[in-house]
Amino acid sequence: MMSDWLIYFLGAIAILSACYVLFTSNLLFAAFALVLTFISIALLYLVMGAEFIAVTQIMIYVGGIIVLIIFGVMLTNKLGNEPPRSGSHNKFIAALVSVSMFGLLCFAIVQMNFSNDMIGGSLLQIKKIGQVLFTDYLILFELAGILLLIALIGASVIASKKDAA
Amino acid sequence: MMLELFIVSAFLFSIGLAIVITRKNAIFVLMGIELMLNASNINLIAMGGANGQGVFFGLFVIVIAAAEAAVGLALVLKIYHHYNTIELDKVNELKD
Amino acid sequence: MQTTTLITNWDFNGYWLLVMLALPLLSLGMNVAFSKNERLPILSSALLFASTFIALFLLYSTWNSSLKFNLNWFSIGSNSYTITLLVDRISGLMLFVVTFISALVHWFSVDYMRDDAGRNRYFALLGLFTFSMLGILVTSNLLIIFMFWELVGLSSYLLIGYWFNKESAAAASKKAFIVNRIGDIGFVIGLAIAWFNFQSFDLLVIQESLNSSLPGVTVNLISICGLMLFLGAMGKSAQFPLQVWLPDAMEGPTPVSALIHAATMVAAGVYLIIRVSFLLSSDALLVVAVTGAITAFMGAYAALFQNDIKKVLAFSTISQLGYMIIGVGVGASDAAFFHLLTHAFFKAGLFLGAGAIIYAIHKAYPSDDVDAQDMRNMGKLKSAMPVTFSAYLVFSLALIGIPFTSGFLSKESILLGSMHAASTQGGLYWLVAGLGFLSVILTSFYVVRMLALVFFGTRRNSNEKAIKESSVTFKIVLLTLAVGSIGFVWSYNPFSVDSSWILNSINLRKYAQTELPHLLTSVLSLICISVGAGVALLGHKRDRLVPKNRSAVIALSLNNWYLDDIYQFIIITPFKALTRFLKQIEIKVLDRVVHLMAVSTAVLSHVIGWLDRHIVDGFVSASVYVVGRTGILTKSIQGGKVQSYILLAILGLIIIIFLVI
Repeated sequence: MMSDWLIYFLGAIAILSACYVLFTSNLLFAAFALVLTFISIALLYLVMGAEFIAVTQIMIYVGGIIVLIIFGVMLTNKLGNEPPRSGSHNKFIAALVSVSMFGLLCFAIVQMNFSNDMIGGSLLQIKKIGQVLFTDYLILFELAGILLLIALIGASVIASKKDAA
Repeated sequence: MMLELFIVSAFLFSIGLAIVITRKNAIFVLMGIELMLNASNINLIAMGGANGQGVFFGLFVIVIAAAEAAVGLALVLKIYHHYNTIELDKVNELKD
Repeated sequence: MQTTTLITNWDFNGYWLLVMLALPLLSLGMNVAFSKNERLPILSSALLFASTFIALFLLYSTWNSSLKFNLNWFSIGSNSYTITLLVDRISGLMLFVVTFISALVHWFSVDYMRDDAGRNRYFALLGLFTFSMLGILVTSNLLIIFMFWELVGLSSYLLIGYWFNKESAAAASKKAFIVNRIGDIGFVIGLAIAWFNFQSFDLLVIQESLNSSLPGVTVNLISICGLMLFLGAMGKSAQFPLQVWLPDAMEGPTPVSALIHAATMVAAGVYLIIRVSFLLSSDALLVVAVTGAITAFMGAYAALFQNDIKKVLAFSTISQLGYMIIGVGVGASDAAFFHLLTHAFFKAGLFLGAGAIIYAIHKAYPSDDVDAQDMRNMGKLKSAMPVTFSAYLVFSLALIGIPFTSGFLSKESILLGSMHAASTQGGLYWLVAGLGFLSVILTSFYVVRMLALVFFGTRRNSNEKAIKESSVTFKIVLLTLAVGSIGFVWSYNPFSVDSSWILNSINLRKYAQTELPHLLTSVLSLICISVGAGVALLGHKRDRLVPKNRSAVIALSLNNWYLDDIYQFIIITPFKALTRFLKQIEIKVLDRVVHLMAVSTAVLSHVIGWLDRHIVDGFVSASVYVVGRTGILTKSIQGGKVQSYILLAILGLIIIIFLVI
């Protein structure tokens, strides 16, 4: 099946680029690898038939969050000829924890024994999503908006040069 | 097919966890958090639910992730102003 | 303790009993509290007379039904200890005599001790003495009796050593105390056996269980118990071989001697042995009788050639106490009690009379170069002190046992008992009776000798005008006691013992009367008396009453059978040698051992110190080091690094999930 191969392929790209984020010491390369991961995840959403989410993913993550991160990198590093680098620690125990976490999650997944049916987001069209958002999930939608506003104000207050205290 | 998606998401989650734990740079930690949020989002979208609630949950998760990223980066900047570094092993005032 | 609620059958007489007990105690308290008051002695005498009247009243009201109260004292476990207050005819009579004699002695002492600096202390001690003696009399509980018994011992010790500045007085009081302790050991053992056998100290209970003959009671043990109590009585009543303290007790003031000899101290022993005589088996009674006989003879013999008037009286007391013990031993306890009463009167009179004479001579010769107690310094006092003489004569005749005196009646009844025992049981009882009659001869000899030396003959070391008749107080006291020593007071028919109201009222004897031994006894004793008196009068005629040369016989008498020297030789010298030996052991062995122990302790402490410093401290510092190291190691976990916290949190989460799965 075409979609199966797509999922394997995109999943592999996402995992590999995530691993690159994990192992690289260059911040900017890590950010670009993260972009690759996000895009492949967005494509995975498309494969699953959730077009709206896929688009949102690309817009917010690739267009917003990664840009924010790159700004952060630039603001927190004295940029010169050398690339911004950062090391890592706790390697061994972190590996242990992560592997055991992965094992645990896999165990749980196998235990749950899902039906293999694909009930993707394709069942919902964009128009219907819009309708439902403004009817059933109206309050949540508004709350999300308020949350974003608060986050915006908070972020600007926190990041402002003046010490509030 | 669901199984593979779940495993991919579990893998991404573990990598995100590893990043959060190991990397010294605070921005790397933020990246790891985003990765973990995405991993969980894959699960939500994949399961979907009878009326597609999964999609809406995924949507709100993305929104919250955005807010979180904004606040997180603001904090990182503040830390940078305060300590002149964002290497977390050097930011250890909690010790005392 | 709430005594008032626990008393059963408490009535009017019981309160009087307590008041009577309290009065001497009040006298003691007052004299201690106001030790400088001049008039207190008179008040003390008044208190004692009041006590006497109460005793008389009690005697009257308990004559027909004895007074008996039970007080719960305390209880240990299931054993409850009761104090039984008991006043029957015997103790009622004793109460009266004790309070009466004590009151007279108090009154007498008011004059006698007038010039003494510490006389309030003296009267306080007299009060204590009387109180202790009354305490013995009012209860039937042996333990309580023992307590008061010890109090009597204590107060006698204090009174004999009243002039404690005198070396001899201090030694005499010590001697009295120690010899009494020997007897008291017997008393304590007797108490223990009594409790072991009867689970009670109460004489009434013991008598009851003895009559009902419980299966657990062994006859031998009871006899031993009785003999042990008798040992206690021997100490108090100065029986052979514990009589040595009594002559030395003359070191106390003369009225105290009167009190000790007549009413309180020595009477306590006889009273006790009369009370517990039911415990004694026939063998034990024989022991008692022989002891009494030996004491009577030894005392009388020791009195023969004494020159000190008080010493004569002291040895006569020992002799008379021997008679009382004979009375108990031959089964005539009532006779013994009778003799105790009559003896109390005439012996108190003798001592107080002697006190009056000594007082008079002391007044006449204030300087100390004349020994006021030595009969060789007296003589022809009859004309100088006629009233004292007449009273003294009555007492002396009573002591000898001349008819028409109280002494005749009581001594007669004792000798009658001994004759009866001898004729029925034979054996050693013949010895007892023989010694009894022999002592009568000796008694009559030394009494007549004393009278001759003191009141007749030539004035030896005194001038005509110096000796004055006694004061009114002395006279009244002496005459009162003289009345008590006359036979008519005790019996309607002064020749017949059997018509004595005392003997008839307390019938304790264990044999029936017969006519023949009665007459025989009277005649025999009269013959004995006349023999002794005749010899003494003969000696007086030839002026040989004070022997010029000291033969062995006389020396034996003068030194009281060398008992003191024998004890010195047998007991005290070996004991001192033993103490010296023990002292040597102490120095040579014990001290060295102690020294060695000290040295080894020091060495050991050094070793321990080293161990402490190097091992214990090392252990401590090692643990400190380990803890410190662990702290440094674990400090890295608490490193203030956010990621370490996350790591640990997730690790913990994973472990929890693993555990749950």
